[in-house]
Amino acid sequence: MKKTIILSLSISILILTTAAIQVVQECDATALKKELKRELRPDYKYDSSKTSRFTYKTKVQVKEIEVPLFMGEKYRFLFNTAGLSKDIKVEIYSKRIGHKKRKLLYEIEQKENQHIYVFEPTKSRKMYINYTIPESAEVEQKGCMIFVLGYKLAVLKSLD
Amino acid sequence: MQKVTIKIAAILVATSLLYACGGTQEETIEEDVIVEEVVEVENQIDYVLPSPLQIAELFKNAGLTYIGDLTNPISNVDNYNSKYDQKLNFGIYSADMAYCIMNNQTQESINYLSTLRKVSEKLWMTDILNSMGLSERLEANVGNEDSLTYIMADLQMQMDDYLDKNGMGYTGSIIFAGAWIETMYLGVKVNENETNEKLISRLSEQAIILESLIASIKQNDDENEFSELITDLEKINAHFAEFDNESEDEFVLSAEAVKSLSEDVTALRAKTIGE
Repeated sequence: MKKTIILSLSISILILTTAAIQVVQECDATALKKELKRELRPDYKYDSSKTSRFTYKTKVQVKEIEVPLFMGEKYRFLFNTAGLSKDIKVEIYSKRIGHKKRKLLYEIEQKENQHIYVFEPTKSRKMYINYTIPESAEVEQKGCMIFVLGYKLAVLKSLD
Repeated sequence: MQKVTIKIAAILVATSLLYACGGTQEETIEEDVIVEEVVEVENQIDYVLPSPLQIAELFKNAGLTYIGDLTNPISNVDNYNSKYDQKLNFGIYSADMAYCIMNNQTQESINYLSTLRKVSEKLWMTDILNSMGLSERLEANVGNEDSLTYIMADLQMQMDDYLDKNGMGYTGSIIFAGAWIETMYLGVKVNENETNEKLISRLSEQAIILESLIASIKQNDDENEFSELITDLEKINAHFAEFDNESEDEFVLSAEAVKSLSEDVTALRAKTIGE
């Protein structure tokens, strides 16, 4: 009897551990950022990043990220959606939520078999990234979105 | 008895499987949910602060020249005993290293790297600097400013990643505050030495960053640990009162405003490094 209980407990622990590892693996922010870093080369340099982790809820959620940019400089916005189990809406606005003069500058249209998205603003001012996370009945489900910002101030030589 | 045991075992395994495979139940559950468009907008906004390297490069492109002895002496490193001072001065020394790197002061850069390592040991962040072989990479790229700045950018990425993984995002804001104060100090001092319109324009533009920096620190100050720093930064921000976020026009401080900004930045920097 003991053997059966020990065996079943071991199987249960194994199953639960595997499930826990899967959750963590769903968001390996370091690896996802590295993928984006490759998209910066050769012209852009890494500037900053933001990993947004969230738990799906039974209602739609909106998260906003403020990105200050310096005038006249070139920037590359990179997004990695590989840590998401459901598509989320990514939009970039000129002003924050609730501002009268808020304009939509860019919207990601998620495509199958694509998880890296690039946006290069034509004008550089403060910008606002909005993530709209859809509702989900599975409220335990987690996801993460990776954003990396690259900048180019001058003509840079490529680096091997 | 054996039947009971088998039942317990079966329940355990089935419960585990149900938990682990929760994802496959989506369609069935969704059918029972009444679809309702309820949107929850988070009150808290996240801030992405630029790297100190980018600001230093902007200043350099605007004519920030190298003046020796402007940076924080490495001998001060042993004076920083509180975590707060260590975080701020990690930022100060990072900005100094960036300044040296961009002006091909390789030996100075390596000295600052050793100093950063010391501070990071106190902050338990040693792994970042050790894992990259930074000294070797700096030495191997002496004289190649582009490569050196890429190395600095790599360091920034490692640091952001470390802070993020360890749930220390707020530390990033404090480190950045130190780096920002030092870069501003270098900017105003070089400008005092020789007035430079382009540099003044870049100094004025920092209004955009300062607003976000203050908001980011406030957001992480539930225990009022940083209220003094916030007050000091707000005092600097008062110099940018005429800056209009809505305007498309370039904002440039007057000569008088630059002078008083220089005084306040110099005073704040002296307080931060413990002069």
